[in-house]
Amino acid sequence: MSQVVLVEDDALFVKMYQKKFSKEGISLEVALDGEAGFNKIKEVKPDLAILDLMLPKMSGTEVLRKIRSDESLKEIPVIIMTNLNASSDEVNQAMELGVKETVLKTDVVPEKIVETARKYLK
Amino acid sequence: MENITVSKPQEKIDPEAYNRAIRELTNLTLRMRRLDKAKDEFISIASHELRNPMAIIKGTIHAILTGDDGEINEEVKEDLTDLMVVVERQIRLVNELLDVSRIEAGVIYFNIVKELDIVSIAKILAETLNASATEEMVKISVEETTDLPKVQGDQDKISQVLINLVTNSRKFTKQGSVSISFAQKDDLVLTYVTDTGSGITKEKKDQLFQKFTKPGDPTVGTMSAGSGLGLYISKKYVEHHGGELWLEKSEEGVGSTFAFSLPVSGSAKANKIMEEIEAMKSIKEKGGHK
Repeated sequence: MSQVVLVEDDALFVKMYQKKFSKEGISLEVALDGEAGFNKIKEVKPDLAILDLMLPKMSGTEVLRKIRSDESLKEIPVIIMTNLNASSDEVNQAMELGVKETVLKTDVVPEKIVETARKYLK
Repeated sequence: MENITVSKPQEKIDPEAYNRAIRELTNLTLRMRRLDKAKDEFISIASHELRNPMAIIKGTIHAILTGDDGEINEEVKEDLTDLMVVVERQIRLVNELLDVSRIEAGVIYFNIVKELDIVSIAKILAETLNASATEEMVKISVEETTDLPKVQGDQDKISQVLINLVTNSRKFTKQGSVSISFAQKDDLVLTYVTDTGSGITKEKKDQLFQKFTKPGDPTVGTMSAGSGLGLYISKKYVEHHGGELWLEKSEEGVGSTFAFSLPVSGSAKANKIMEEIEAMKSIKEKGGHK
């Protein structure tokens, strides 16, 4: 079954996305901090990971760096969904590590992310 | 030329005073770096705290409007559509406030490329804005030109400047047109945004580029006056490119023309800006700035 992992620390934000993904029949596993997020990605090996950048315990950029340097995970497509401007250092660092897309949270709605996610699901 | 007298270096430097000066300088540099980092972190935290709630409100309204929670009646639909307009307005305000803080803290990143086609940027923009325009809005036209040189700049920032100017013009133009045209003057490409709108009053002209100054009350139906930050941000963005942004002319009841200049690719001005950006980058990297 296709799987997506969302790493995001705002529980209400997570709830909104869980509701939409479940309506669309896509399994969404979530983690509320960077460390738990990396462990979840390692355990699930999802078709797609959606990462916030500002996360407790381990930043999204750090999670991404660990994914990219792990043989079994490095091919996983990653989307960054952040509150930080495209012109910030953090977003540019993440882009250098290789991501499919970077979106500003306020520019999108869950429906749009489901649409994007479908492109990467097997 | 000014006459400069260079005093003869002292033969003996007091080693204690010298060491003290070095220590003070090092401390000062460290403090500046800490301050720089603190400013950066403050903006990141502010972005997060301001944007996350807006994203949740927007997403939830959208889900209800599109029937995710079941059917809703027309009245609720209308109320939610109004709410969505307010939320989008708020998101724009937050975006602009954050842009201003980044500009003022000097932590804005410019992805300057050497060759940009300003005419095609304007055309794509006009097409998009025309496609999403309501009936009350006038159409945007772009002058056909083939012999304009390429410019040096950051595509997203230049688009943002053009969007700002064009949407401003559209707010104050009930009838007629908003048009984008171009010219070349020495090492600069000039872009003009001209409207046939209400014009800007004499009193407003002097404050136009100050923060929170609105050119006037919108004359077109339901369009929002905005935050009064757009022109300030646009001016700063253009200046970072080595260009300028100004009000070319405006007459009440006749219309206004805003203009901005950008350096031609490969020109001395363009190369100087590129060198400055590279120098800033290397200072930042050497400083161990995140």
